[in-house]
Amino acid sequence: MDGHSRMVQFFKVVLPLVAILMLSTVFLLSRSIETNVTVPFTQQDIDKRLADQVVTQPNYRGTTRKGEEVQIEAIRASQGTEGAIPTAAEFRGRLGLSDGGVITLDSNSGLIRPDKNTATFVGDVVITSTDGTEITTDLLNTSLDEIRGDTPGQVNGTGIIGNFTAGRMTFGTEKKDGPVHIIFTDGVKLVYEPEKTER
Amino acid sequence: QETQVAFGAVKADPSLPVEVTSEKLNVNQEDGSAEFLGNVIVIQGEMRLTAERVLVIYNEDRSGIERMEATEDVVLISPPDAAEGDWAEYTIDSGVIVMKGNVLLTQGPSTITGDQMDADLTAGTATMIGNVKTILQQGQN
Repeated sequence: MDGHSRMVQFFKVVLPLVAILMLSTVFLLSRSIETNVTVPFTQQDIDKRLADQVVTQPNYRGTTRKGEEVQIEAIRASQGTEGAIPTAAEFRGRLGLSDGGVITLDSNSGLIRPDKNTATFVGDVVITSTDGTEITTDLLNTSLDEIRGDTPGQVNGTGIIGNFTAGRMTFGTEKKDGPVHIIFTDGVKLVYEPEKTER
Repeated sequence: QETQVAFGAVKADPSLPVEVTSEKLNVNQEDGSAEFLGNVIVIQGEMRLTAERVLVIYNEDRSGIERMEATEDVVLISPPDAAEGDWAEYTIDSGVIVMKGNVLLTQGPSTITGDQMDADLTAGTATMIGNVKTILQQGQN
């Protein structure tokens, strides 16, 4: 047996042993998978959802008799159980007028009463009228089957006409099928800053 | 014929803020016109314009108010003078007020009546046009 065949005999034994050794450690080093993954909802959240059937991304879309489009959407809404009435978070509304103008409504929360055909915007309500005037108030009631609404409380507004405050605001058509008007009542106070005219 | 009189003691500055108070403000969403209703008071600096209805007219690019049209018992006060008429139009940038419809201007003891009055608040002058009659009270002060 010369050196070469002795070396071959030696490797014939050692190499398979090394192979077996590597093979066995492969399974030991594999990535550990996370077994107890946490569910994204807390138990209390699940119970709440089951209790009052929370709906995500609800969207109310209707058209009035005159063909104006009333659209109200929210991030999350819960359907009212017999005690509570349906409430929604991140409330947004869009009233498309027949002449193309758009009044957008936005508020922290709100509620829709399809049975009474009304929707109420609650909390930091921002109304943007067709000419870009921004009106803010605390609460706004709107109807779902026609372009009509009113605010019980005070409103503040800014626009090209200037900054103003008013005791109350209502919007709707004055004459049947006439144009939609936004009417500020109970005392209006407005300040208009003329642009600096070059004298 | 025409009479030119001084109007208002101090020269008005048209870039002063304009304050409007009224009972109601009606904004038409179709053509965007806005109208103040119910004892409307427009104040700018010394000038006071009161009327029952004031319609706001915007400039072409709708970036600001061009002029205001007051109707129904319009009274314009630019101390110490006062004028009243049926209709008045106040152009804010130029500070010019045009009054029409049996205009009556009282200046201290004397009163001047006419069909139309063009008052330029910045220049402090007013021009009465159309069968102007002046009634001077003599002697009592």
